[in-house]
Amino acid sequence: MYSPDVTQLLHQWSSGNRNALDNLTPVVYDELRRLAAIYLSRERSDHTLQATALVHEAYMKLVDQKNVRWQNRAHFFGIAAQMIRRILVDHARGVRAAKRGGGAMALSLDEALGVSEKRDLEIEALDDALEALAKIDPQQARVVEMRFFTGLSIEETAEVLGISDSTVKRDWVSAKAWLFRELSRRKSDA
Amino acid sequence: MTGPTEQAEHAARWQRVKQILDRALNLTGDDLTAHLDAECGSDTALREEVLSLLDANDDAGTFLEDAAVDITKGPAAGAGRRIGPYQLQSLLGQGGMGEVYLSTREVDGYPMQVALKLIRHSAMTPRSLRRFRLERQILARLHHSGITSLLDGGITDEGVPFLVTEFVDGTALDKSPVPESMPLAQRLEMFLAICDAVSFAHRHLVVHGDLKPGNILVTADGKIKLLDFGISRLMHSSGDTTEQRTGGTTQLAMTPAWTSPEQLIGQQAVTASDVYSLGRVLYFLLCRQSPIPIERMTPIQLHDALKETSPRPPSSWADDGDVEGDLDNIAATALEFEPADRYPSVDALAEDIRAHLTSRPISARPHTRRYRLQKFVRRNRAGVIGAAAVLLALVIGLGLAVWQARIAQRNYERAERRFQELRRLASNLISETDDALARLPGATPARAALVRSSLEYLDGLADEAKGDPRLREELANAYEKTGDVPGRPGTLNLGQITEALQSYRKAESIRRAVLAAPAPETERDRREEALANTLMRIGSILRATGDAQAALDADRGALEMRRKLLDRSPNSVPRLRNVASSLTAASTTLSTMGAFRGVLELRGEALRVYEQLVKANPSSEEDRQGLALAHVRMGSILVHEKEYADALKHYHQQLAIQKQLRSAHPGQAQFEIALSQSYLHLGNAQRIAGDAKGAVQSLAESQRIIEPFAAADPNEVRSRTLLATAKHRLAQARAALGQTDEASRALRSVLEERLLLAERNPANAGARGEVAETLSALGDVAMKVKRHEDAGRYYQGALDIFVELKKEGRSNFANEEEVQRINRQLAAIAKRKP
Repeated sequence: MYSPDVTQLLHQWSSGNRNALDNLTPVVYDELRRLAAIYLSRERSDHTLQATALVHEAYMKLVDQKNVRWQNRAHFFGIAAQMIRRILVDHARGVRAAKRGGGAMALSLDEALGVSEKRDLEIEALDDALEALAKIDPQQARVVEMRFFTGLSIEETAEVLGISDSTVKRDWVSAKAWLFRELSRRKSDA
Repeated sequence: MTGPTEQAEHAARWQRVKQILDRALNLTGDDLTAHLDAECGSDTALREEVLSLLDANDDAGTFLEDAAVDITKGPAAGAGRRIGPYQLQSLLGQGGMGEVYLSTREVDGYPMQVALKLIRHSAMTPRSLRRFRLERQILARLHHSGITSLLDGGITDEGVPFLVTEFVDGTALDKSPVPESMPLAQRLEMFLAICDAVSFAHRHLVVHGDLKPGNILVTADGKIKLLDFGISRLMHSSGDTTEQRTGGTTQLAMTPAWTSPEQLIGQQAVTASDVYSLGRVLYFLLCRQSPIPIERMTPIQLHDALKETSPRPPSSWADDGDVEGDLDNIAATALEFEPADRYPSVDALAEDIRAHLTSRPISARPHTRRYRLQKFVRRNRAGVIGAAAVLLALVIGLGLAVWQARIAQRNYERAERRFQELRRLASNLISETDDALARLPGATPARAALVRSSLEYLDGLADEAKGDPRLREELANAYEKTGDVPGRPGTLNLGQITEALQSYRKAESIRRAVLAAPAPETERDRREEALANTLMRIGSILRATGDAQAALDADRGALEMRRKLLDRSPNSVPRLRNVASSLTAASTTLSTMGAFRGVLELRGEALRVYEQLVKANPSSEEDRQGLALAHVRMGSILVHEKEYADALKHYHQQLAIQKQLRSAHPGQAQFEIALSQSYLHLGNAQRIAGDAKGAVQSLAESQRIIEPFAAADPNEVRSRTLLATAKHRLAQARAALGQTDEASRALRSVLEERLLLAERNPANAGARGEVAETLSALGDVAMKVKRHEDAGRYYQGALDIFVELKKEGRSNFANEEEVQRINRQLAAIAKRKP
């Protein structure tokens, strides 16, 4: 059921082969997209599972559990982080579009992911701010992505990015301050 | 603003800001000022930048700390940490819910060993904390030798809930060598001890929710001790609603193999979920295998697989012969996909194990099938009924295979006996499912699905059955039953009348062929009775399609046969009943043909027979219902003969009977519907007799009773038809009281509903006749308020339908009378025109 490639690629990536990532990402994304579609097709709310479950399902499916270390797992979720971010942001936009008319799809996505509605606006704004942050400090933006969009720990984030724990910690703190200020400014501008 | 150079400058400056900020974050007061002075110098913009970020940091609070999606669940804890008074020593285990550490606490100067479990979970709200404490108190009261006691619990500084239990020096059931070394009976005793602990918890309203060998410790001397009682529920209750689902699913991502199907899709564990997991544990103890292959499945895949796959019998794995029938059945019952199909309690499961151990009969084998069927039906889901149909098909298919094998094999008698068994099972399945469905509102799609798959298999079986009269008779029974399901008028129906007629005709031809063969007298009587029954069904179907002549043939055939049967045994209650019902049926058919003298005669005779029956046996509801209907029919023919006073007496008598019957069965569809119909009859008679006020009262009551049943299942034609009729008559009564606006509004809505009903079943002439009836009533109301043009249009519409029906040869006498009346009205309108 699982894809031996993915496990293999995760190993390669963990041991420093950055090309592995290029091969890994599309497989993970496809699976996530496919699963998201399945989750969306389950109409009833008692069938809805959340993004966490969705990512776990993708992980269990793609990766040979017996053959991975926690580092591989962190890498996997590190990749998923980008995808989750994209899903959540698309979703948040979709909800706003839906409110302007149409877009039942977006509303069921809300159910599928279990995202609280009040968070939609925050997430959309955060995504914009994160985009701006990435322009001046891409690594820092990745730290935020992993910490916020998957809940990876400091250590796990450090492992995925191949930097020290203390760097992650520093980046995390200053990024939060920067983003918070950015969002506050935008809010008062609006 | 973002040229490449400019962006590079921004980036470089940001690195510098970060550096200054990083140190500044740890400084206050003068130190901070000194740091900023040193780093920023005269660059006030830089200084401002850092200061504003410092402010932002102060204000940010928990900003971004609560991850949008939390995959890893909190910070890693670890051995060596201290939580409250507990010193964490070493990791005992790790699972979806968190980690368990062997920990110590100093008590009176001595270290006491405990197990401390960190429950990884997202942030707790004050409300969820309260619930967590409440649940903990419940768990703390759970003192049982088979359950590890909860000693303490709390929340760590990071907000992670933890629980402290006694430390049991044991090995998990699946790792322990003890069970394997035991003989089967001893393993079952061990299982009973597990059941006992779970049952104890259930009595204290605690569900385990995560029973698995890993949570069942076996001590060196073979005692069992259950871990983690109520933890899964605790986890659920400690989060808010969205977190609950995450908790459930992530937990399941870790140990789906032992979990009940309902938990796999994120539902909260209930006692039946524990019964399921106990079934898995039993299965494990019997053969150390998994009932279905579950390698590398996600929870959802597993859920679907469990739905589609029956667990493999544990005995099929067994290397010893001890795990035979009983234990297979017990495991299968505990492992039913639907919670309601499992043992109703852990005690019931344990009782069957005990019965097996003491060689008493177990409940799983003799009762399961019936029990399961009732549950199927009670849940009233098409999918489940689909499963019942598949089961039925399987049983019949199996029967066929065995039967063929019988011919091929020497072992004739044994195959024969097995086949009889399967055959009986098949017909029970049909009748039990069907009878139960008949009493339930909203179940018609399920019945229709059942029928279709049954028919396919019956047709297959029929080809093989030639030459075996008993098998042929049973086939006829099965055809008849399936015919009843889609559309026998008078039972709940989907309007699929043609399909039903075909089934009945198949039954009829089989029965006639069987009757032609020589047989002993009692056997022949029985077969004649059966044929008469089939003919009655055919008559009633044909009547509904408007083919009165053919219906009368069938009715008369049945009546003749039944009268002869009664002659042979004049005091037989069933034969009296049969004659009465044949009289009634024939009279109804005659009335559709306008042969009213014959109608009055037959109905009078039927009424007397029913009175005789009820007198002889007053407790029989069936006969009382029959008597009530006999009154209705007398009333109706008397109304037609304009004998209103006599007619109303009969209508009041039937209402009294139906009221009694209903009060004995409140809420049951068939009695409620009958009562509604009863009021409808009375109200209509009152209206025609000129008592419009009384009519409005009775008809409104009729409508009130039937409304919920029509709403329960929009596919249920009968109650919708009845509701439309009640509304129609009520509108007419209101019109008679001068409430014309209300009446015409109501009639227009009835018209819509009746059009829908007629469209649904074009073969039902009655439904189209009813559309015409409403059009004509609308015409009457329009006439009353002198809107002659409207009236003309309505009448013309009604006339068109009646003419059409007549052309198709499916009109009845009442229609003809109505056509004449409409023509008179139309003529009157035409006269008014200039």
